[in-house]
Amino acid sequence: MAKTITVTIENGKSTVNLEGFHGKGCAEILAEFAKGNTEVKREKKPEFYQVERKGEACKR
Amino acid sequence: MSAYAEYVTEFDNAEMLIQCLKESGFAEVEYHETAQHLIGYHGDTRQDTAEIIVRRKFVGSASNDIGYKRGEDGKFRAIISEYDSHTYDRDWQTRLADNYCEKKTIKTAQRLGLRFTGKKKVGTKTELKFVKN
Repeated sequence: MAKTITVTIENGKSTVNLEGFHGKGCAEILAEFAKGNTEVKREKKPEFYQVERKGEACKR
Repeated sequence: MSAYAEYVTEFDNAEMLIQCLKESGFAEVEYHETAQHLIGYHGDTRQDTAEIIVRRKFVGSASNDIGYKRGEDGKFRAIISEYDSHTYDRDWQTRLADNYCEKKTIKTAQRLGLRFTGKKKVGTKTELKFVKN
């Protein structure tokens, strides 16, 4: 499954939505967007809590 | 004399803010390492200072300078006269903030090595899509 990132911007604020990501290793992407944007709303999807399978972990 | 009012912003990157101001229609935008005084529509020097300044001739015929003054938190505060705030109102400031946010998002994505795949406008929202290879 492709790993996609959708950033929605409205009223100078942004929301980041990650799809296809698993595990906490991907939290760095959210952290980077939080640094770079006016405001990042965070909502963890069920996938976030899934155990990473070998070979699917995000690169750090 | 039209009084100046300050507006809190989240702008923290001068270069990006200047680019956004130019894209919003200002032909010239000044940047000063040291904050300079703003000039009123009579040519009077105001007490207010700013590092980023749009001179009044680029703002409007009876306008005052518009400034962006960097605060201690590193973020710029918009300094806009009461007169000019009718044109450069909250809606205008929001559009400027959206453009700034879009640029910051793209810059962050580039830093992360994400591939930009498209931009979509949905009402007042802008969606930017990226793929991580």
